[in-house]
Amino acid sequence: MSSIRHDLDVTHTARWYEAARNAQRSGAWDERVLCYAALSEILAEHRAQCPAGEAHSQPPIRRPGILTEVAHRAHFASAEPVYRRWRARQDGQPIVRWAGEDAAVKPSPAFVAEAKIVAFWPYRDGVLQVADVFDMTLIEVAAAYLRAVATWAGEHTPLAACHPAGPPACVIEDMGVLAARIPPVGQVPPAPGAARLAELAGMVVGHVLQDSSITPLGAFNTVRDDVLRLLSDPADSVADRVTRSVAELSDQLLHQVHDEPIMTVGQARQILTALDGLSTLLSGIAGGSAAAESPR
Amino acid sequence: MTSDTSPARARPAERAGHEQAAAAARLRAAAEALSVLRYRPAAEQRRASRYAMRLLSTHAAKADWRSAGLPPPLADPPPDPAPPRRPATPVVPLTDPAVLHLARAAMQLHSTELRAADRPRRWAQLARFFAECLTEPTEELVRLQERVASARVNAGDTSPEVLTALLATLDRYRAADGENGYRTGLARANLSVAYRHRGSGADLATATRLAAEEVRARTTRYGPDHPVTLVARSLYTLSLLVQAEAMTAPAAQRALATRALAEITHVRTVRDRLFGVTAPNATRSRRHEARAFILLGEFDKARVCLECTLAFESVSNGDRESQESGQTHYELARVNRALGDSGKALEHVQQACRILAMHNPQGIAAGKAAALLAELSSSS
Repeated sequence: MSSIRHDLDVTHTARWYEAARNAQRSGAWDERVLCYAALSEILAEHRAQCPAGEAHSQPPIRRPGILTEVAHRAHFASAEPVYRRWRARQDGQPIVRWAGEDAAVKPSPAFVAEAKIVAFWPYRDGVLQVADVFDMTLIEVAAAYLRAVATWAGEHTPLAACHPAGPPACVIEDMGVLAARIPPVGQVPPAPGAARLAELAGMVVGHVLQDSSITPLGAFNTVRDDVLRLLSDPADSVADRVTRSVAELSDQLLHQVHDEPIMTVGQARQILTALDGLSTLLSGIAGGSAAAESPR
Repeated sequence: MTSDTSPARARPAERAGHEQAAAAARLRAAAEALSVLRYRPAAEQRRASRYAMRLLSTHAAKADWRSAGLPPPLADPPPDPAPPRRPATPVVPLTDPAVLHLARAAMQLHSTELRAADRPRRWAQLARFFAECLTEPTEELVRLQERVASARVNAGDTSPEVLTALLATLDRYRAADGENGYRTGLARANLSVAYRHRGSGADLATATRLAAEEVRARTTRYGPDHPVTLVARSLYTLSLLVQAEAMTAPAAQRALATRALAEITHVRTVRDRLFGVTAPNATRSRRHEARAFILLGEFDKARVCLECTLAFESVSNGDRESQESGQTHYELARVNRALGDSGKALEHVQQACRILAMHNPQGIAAGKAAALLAELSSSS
């Protein structure tokens, strides 16, 4: 589904990331990378000092004054230049902060949000590349993306647990892109779908923080049902619907409890007649090599 | 020299480290994305496996991947994963866990086109390859070795060596993650399967006990209908069925089969909803459901159930005749024999023998099918 890839390439965060990494500004980028690396070191040390919970669960991490610590760790002469990079007023910074100019977003959360995004970005890249090459369906893209979110949380656990614990902020935006492709049902807008998908991404990260031994597949499986329900195309092919209905009807008949009405005799005869006719028609298709071209 | 705006530390090393970590993360995520494709038809899984090999050949350190039992990469040149104007991505060393993950994903996809009997050798080759690359056993390597043992069990090998390896893995995870850790659960389930396959002495009871423990642990943690819990519930019912099949007392057998039927029907219904009626795990549950009907003497219901299973398997597998479809033919042969249709029974058992021998000629299933064929041939 290449158009998903296209839409994901032009999100606010994607454009910010591309601009930030622009070659002309690589010196500024390197300094940012240094700060992110310092944050990871500090969080890893914090984790090493705190005893893990059951199954190595990772409680949320709050570090007041984290930017001062980062400045010290990254050997800046003072904390001020670090704060300046993530203040709402950017004053000609070569790379604008991801959080924009909203004064309500303080430098520390702006920095942590960015650090999470930058750490997650290559995982996102890896998924989108495969999604593009294999023309993934919406459900496949969501599954692959959420498994990548789980992988990120497993490999950057302290960062994922850093306040506010959870996935990188760009996930909300990306889920919005996926939700915009949810097949419309009546007049329901995609916004609730985006919020729900983002919430599911949060649950995936939550499971990883709860049990560091869980695999990305295991973490995704905790929300698989909801993802499928959200993203399934209600208008799937008649062949799929018949397959499901036939399976459902045989199940009901196989497990029929005495006196539980499933259908009238007339209905049974009607279905039987229809199935006889359908069998003749289907044998014409199934007789060839159609099985090899089974739909996904 | 420090300024008020710039840190003093040298930057090239930091940058190189960051770039290498990013390249590894891309491979790691690609492995997850490619694994999603395992529900696609066999031909696409093959392509996905070879695409994984192309990523490994391009982005990981040079290695003889053939010696690791992996397929060749896709022939056409890879698209540039890096956006324009960016320097080439660094090579990821073989010791990075991301490389093992991607190789494992490639093998998982590749193994669908291998016979069950050939899979253990390939998985072992892969494990040996990484054991030689890594200076000490990593968590990823331990999981890979566990995968080798599971492949051996699935191919019918329940030698003491395999059981010991699976027990050691379970102990390792118990110590590392606790009784309810995710990996502990996976290891317990794998051990349960091994005991069930061996089936001697108290093995079946042990298999059922381990599976029941796993169902309890997963239900508490994830809820009863979570896909991870469903795997454990499916294992549990299969253990019950095999135990019931081994019983001689009809009342006890019936009681166990009734319990198994209720459980597996629920599992199958949820899987139908979650994965689709033609998904391999849903059709597997449907076949187990039929086995419960057979035990209860409800052969007409078993036949309908198995015919649906066969139809759904062919949708999922296309032209490829999976080992599982061989098992479905075997069960259909048993049902048709019980219903008195020896012609159809013979037809199905012949199919079963052919398919099962193709996958694993020395396996238990192939042996059972051959015995049934001999019995039906002599009576016709």
